[in-house]
Amino acid sequence: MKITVRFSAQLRAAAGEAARTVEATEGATVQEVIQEIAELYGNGFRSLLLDSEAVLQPSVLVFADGEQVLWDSPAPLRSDQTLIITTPIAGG
Amino acid sequence: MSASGPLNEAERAVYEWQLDVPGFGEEGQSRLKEASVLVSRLGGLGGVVAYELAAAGIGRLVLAHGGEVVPSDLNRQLLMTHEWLGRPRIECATARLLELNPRLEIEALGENINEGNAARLVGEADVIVDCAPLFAERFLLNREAVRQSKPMVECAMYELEAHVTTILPGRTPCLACLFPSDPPAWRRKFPVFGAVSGAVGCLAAMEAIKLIASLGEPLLGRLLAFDTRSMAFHTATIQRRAGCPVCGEATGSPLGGG
Ligand SMILES: [Zn+2]
Repeated sequence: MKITVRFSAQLRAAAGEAARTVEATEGATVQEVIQEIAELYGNGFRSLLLDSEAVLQPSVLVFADGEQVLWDSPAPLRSDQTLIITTPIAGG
Repeated sequence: MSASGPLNEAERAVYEWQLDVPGFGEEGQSRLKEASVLVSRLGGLGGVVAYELAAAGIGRLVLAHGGEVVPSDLNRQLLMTHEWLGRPRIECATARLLELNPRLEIEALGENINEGNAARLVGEADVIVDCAPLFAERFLLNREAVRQSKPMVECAMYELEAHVTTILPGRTPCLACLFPSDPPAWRRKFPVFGAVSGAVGCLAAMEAIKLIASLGEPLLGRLLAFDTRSMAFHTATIQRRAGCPVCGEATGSPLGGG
């Protein structure tokens, strides 16, 4: 199934693009797709997104269908779903 | 917030166009007049927050902002002017706000939020608007807002994007629920257009007005994110984090009475 992942803030700059559509297997979770995406753009992007244990960096926000997804709660994906991932921002 | 006093004729004359907003009226205007708002830093974001609140008729602003006006402030910090280069930002900002609204009471501090002043400044405000460019300052203000059970509008920008949410300690996620550790990749110098910080500043000012005047629905437990590159706006629910070291024990409802 197709999943679109949108990148915000520093992640977008590190990816060099605003979004990526990937093919996920039936039953895959938000967490699994993020771990796959993390490998697509090099180390700078990966380290913004995941720690050395492949766990989401604690202050990165993930949204699916208008709701926050917490890393500790596996969230099943639906076909044609859009995820939004954003690094924390504090600019004034 | 204390009991609202009646408006005088001069105030009615200034605010008559907003007194017509349904659900606001004289009662709402009187509540703004009685309210005190702390704005942390008066840069591209906080300057616009303070200016909009001054225009709307807030009674009292508590302002914290250090340093002197430098050329690179002037692409976004709309309270600063070319004439004031090299002189204290807080004095420039105060002068500009009083030019717009001489009825405004201002407590101005020429330093940023720090361990030594946070508790006192938060204690003087009914509502806080967090506009600092560093997470350390934001986390400190969040901790103090939760400890004193004060509502805090949290707004931020980066490049062409911005976020805003409103924190009611004990009821909504706090800043430490959203960002449980200091983001290592954040840098003090961030790419910014003034129109982006100004846009989110206006939204944050509106959140403060809504909280004070019990108007509409503040962004409680919701994060509004927008990207001016595509003009895409979206709102998502956000969650309190179990065991949050800052708000985990908080159950208060600072605006319980409305
Ligand atoms: Zn919290």
